[in-house]
Amino acid sequence: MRVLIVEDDDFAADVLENALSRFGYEVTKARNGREALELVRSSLYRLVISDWEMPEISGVDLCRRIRAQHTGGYVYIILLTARRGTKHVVEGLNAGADDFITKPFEPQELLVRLRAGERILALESRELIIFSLAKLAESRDPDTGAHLERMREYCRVLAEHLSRQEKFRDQVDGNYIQLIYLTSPLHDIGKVGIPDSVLLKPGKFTPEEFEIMKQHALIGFQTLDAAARTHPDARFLLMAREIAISHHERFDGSGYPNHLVGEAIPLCSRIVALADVYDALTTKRIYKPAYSHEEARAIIFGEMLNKFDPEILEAFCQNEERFMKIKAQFTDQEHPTGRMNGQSQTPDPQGNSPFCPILTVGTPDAPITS
Amino acid sequence: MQETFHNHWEGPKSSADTPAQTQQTEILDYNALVDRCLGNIELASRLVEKLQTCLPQEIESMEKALSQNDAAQLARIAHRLKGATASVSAQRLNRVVEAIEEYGKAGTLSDIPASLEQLHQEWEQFRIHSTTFLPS
Repeated sequence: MRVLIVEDDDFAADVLENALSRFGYEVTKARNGREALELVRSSLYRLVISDWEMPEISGVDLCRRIRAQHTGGYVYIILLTARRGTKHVVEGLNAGADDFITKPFEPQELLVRLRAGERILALESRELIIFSLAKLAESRDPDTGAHLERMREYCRVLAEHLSRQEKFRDQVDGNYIQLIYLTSPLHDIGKVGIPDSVLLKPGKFTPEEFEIMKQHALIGFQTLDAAARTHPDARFLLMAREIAISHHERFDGSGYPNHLVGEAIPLCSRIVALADVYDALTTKRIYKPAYSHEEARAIIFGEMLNKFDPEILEAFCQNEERFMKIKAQFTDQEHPTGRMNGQSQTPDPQGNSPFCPILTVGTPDAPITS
Repeated sequence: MQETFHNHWEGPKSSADTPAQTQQTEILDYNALVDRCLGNIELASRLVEKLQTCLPQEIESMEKALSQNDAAQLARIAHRLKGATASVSAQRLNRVVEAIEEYGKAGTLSDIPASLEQLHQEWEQFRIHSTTFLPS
């Protein structure tokens, strides 16, 4: 991994370069903040070790400028300082520094701190890869738009609300919120296993085709289950697996594939279910216009009332403004075909909503949402 | 030639150093320097030589700054030397330049001549002691 050293003191720079090279890092040296900013702009450097006191641009100023600059990814910054005391630590952290090393440094301490930085960067890379996979899975459907971006934001809002409720306090913590934000975009990853003739069919599904379409929940589960079995400690895989298999389950038992009822449906899937349906209702599909927030709310609290966990409906009620802001923030671009997002079926000739026929009592075997 | 240096490095400093050894260690803690260089003797000796070369010039620059009552310049040079002496593990030199930096930052130039005199003495001791670690 590349490390950028920003140090005007030749002695410290030489010692640092030697230590980092011995630890296997690829080292570039900048003699001042100006040079460093140019190099960081190249997006080649994710780890920066900078002296605090430098002429022109200090280490703290450099931190601020790097944070203000939009580079390819997060840059982990370690400040080298002879300064001690809380005041300086706070100043550095406020400026955007991630860690500190006191000069003259001990090489082993330097290594440990760099490894910590690499772990942070790896987490970011993991999140990007997971989201990229989800986008890739959705990319076969030309109508996807910003569905995944909105979905994960809605899920985060709902989970944040639940985390403040006594009932969920032990289950929904900061880590849970982060996990659902990370994994909810994978809910439809099983669609990669659905043939184009079904997934992209412009017309109404036959019962056989709909059975094939429903398989996406199981395919997604099996895909993630294979990964979870080899990495049983990876909590995000376990949650992603639950979401994939049960995000079409409904609280009243009318969902699929296992017709689970109530709290037998994993909490994460109950959250994703509402987020998914709300997004389907409020975005344009080839077979329907985008409903307003109020219209969507009326449907959810009308004919769909029993489909969702009342606690999650309450979370939705308490955060409607945030939902509307998210909707406004991630607006879909009109596709040349006229499609925006979601399913590609035409309207049900019998008047049932093909994206969400569960709205119509007595047709639980029809497709539900994107 | 490298063997000459290596013969001087006897591993991490023992806690049973005599007072004389302790004093010498404070002039130049060569073991700490080599540890910091992860055993790279060539780098350690290069840093010692570099400090030997630059220190007289930096002292001269400080004296010039003092004669011009330029406290800020004095603080800048002392700060540079503070980093260099810390990296090389020259603790006694480091303490003197740190004091000069503080005086320079505070603008109390009257305290600096005595510190510069002390710096001359510490430099002389460093030059003599550190030479034992360099190739002949």
